[in-house]
Amino acid sequence: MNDRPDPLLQALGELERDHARDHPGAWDDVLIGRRSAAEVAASPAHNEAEEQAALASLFTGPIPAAEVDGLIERTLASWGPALPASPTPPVVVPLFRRRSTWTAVVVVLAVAAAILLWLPGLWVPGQPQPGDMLVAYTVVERSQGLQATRTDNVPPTVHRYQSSSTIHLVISPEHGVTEATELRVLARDHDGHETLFEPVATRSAEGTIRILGRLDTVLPLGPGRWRLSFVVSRPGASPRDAAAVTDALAAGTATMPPDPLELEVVAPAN
Amino acid sequence: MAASARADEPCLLNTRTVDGSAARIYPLGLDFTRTRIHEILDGDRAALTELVCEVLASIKVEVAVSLFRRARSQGRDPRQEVNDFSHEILISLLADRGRVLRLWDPERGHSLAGFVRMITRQRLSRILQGHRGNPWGDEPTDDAALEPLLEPDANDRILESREELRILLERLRARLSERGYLLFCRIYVDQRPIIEVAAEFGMTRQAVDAWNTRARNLARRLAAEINP
Repeated sequence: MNDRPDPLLQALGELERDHARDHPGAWDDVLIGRRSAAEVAASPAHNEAEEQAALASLFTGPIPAAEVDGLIERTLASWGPALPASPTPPVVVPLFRRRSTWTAVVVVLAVAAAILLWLPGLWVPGQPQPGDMLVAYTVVERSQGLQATRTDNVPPTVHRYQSSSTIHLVISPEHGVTEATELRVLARDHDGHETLFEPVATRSAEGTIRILGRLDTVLPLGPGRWRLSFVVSRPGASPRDAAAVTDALAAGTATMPPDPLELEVVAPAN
Repeated sequence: MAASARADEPCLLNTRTVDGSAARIYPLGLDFTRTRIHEILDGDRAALTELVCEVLASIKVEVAVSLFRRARSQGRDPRQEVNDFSHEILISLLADRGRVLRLWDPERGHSLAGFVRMITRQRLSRILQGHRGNPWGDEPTDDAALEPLLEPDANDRILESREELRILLERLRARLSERGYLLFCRIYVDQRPIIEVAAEFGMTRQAVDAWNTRARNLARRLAAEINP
């Protein structure tokens, strides 16, 4: 049994305390609507002036109601049966009324099923339908790779990485997407050979896909110049290989940001 | 769930437009009790909006501050990611009918906002360190691995650079499970006696000591990766 407090963990605990103490909690009040941004920006703060200015530019007023409502709806959907609007006593329905209610529900469902089955072309499994089209995505490279040297011939827009470098790519939908999606990377080397693979990525509740981590872990690319295209599809609809990407895009089962990303993977310096 | 009208029930003021966006403004001085939070998560849709707004505000400011402080050393602008990360963290706090949010206990000395910020820091560290899988497991993941129990060396070097400590803290947060991080906070941030923490978490004294040793070994291993 070890009773001695560990000095390293103590130092980390102190750092955590400092972080909590310096937290600018007044900005919480701005986002909730209890105080104005101007008032908080003008009041004394524990945090540095640069940070205070950054928060003032970011938090200008209360969180929009639509943002809160959207998050609540997603939460409730994940919880299952809908919550009541407010706590109310249960209402007991006589048995004969319950039967007639359920009968009406069954009839409505049967009619709806008949419509779906008998109207041609309304629903074909595996094919995109009106209202079901994939939205457009953009790709942003947040990492900057290695610093270029004066002798490099690589254009400044092409970032260079080693296999151990951290890469950070964000693939964002044009508007929030709650449905699940899949991501594939179409990688083309300097000889024109193309490979399709699934990267290591995370997906936010709003559909933003993030590739973040060591290059050799999240994007298995060998040394050389690469042109990367990002293929977003519905679950189970991703193209099987590089040759199938064009057909998937034409069929509307996949979408791809228009501008590919160029990068170079260099061997580590000795 | 039947309930009569409560004198302390929050009421929403009229919606007003702020900078072109509709917003709801809540009365000042509202406090959530642990019981009230459980009631809201059990089935009060109207009050859920207010709770979410309060929690989301704390998450957003914590995410913004954490990202700004981290980005300062990397010369990046993190504004694009604040909403993204904040929403992801909120959804995780509310998952399983608010399982994580229900862990808040004001008796442990943290306000609701303080508890939310604490969990936000850990969740954000896991995202930024690229950890996947369920971060809310009851048992530690990496630090549950069978490692030799090392006695502290008198010559152990403590990271003296504050930036190195910050990096280590972020990596430690990411590697600890939810329960492990809460243990770390109670012992080393709140500086509560181990016997008290053991009782709070329903653990034996020996179990907390064993966790403490594993956490120490993990911290040292991570420190060696930062500055070998």
